[in-house]
Amino acid sequence: MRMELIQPFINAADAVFAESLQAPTKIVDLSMDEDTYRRKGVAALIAIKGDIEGRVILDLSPEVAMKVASLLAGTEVEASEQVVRETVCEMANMVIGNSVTLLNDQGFHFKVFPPEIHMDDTGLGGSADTEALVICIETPCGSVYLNIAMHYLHRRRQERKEVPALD
Amino acid sequence: MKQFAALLRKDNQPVRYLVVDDSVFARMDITMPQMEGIEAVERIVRQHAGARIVMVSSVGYQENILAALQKGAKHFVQKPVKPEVLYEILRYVLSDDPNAVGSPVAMAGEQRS
Repeated sequence: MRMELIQPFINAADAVFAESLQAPTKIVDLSMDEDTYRRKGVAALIAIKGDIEGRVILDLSPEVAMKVASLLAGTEVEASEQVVRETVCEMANMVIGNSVTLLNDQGFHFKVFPPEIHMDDTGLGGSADTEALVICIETPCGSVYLNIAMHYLHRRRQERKEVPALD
Repeated sequence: MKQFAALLRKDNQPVRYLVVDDSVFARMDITMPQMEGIEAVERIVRQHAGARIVMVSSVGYQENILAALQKGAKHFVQKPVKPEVLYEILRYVLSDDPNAVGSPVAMAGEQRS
């Protein structure tokens, strides 16, 4: 697991939740996980393909998602499964988008796929035997979990250019 | 000020927007399942020359911003965006006054006077 690939996701998640909720956040737990990911609440999985590949899972309980939705809306939002799904998707989008922006500035190019929501009780497909970093972020609305598995697919474009051609 | 409104979905529905008096106002994202947002900008502008499109995306790197503006978006703002910042941007885009407050690109959290 390369930390230079992971760090932008941690920074972006921290910044996005702090900015969106207008309150400080804190990373309270950080661990490595190789087992199939079992969601804790409602999980949004976003796949990334390109110079680096992998996936990021944002996971929060429906209660936390509703609190986030109400804060984002600026008013109490009536609880529903749809609001929970949309909130988790939107937060995942913002975290990934901001991470991608940071990584793009470092010269990585890749495509981000729209989030897939997982609410069933089975493990998430494609997450078995994948070394992932699991982060718990404490926010004023409750705990938010981020599960990141990322690896280089090819050498970075710039590095490829720097390799001298063979005669 | 003319009245414009639009809705653009990120689920499996096609891009939807509302046309009022041959002008379009769309609040849209870049990454979508069936059509990329920048492609959607180009298509909307082709069909409605007066379209006023504000890209609202969390993916805010330079290439994306430039591509959106080159395809005809009037503004680009990176999420998360504060409501008051978005309000100023919309006011600017909807204004017919070229000297209205606002600049072509606004980043998240950017404050305006």
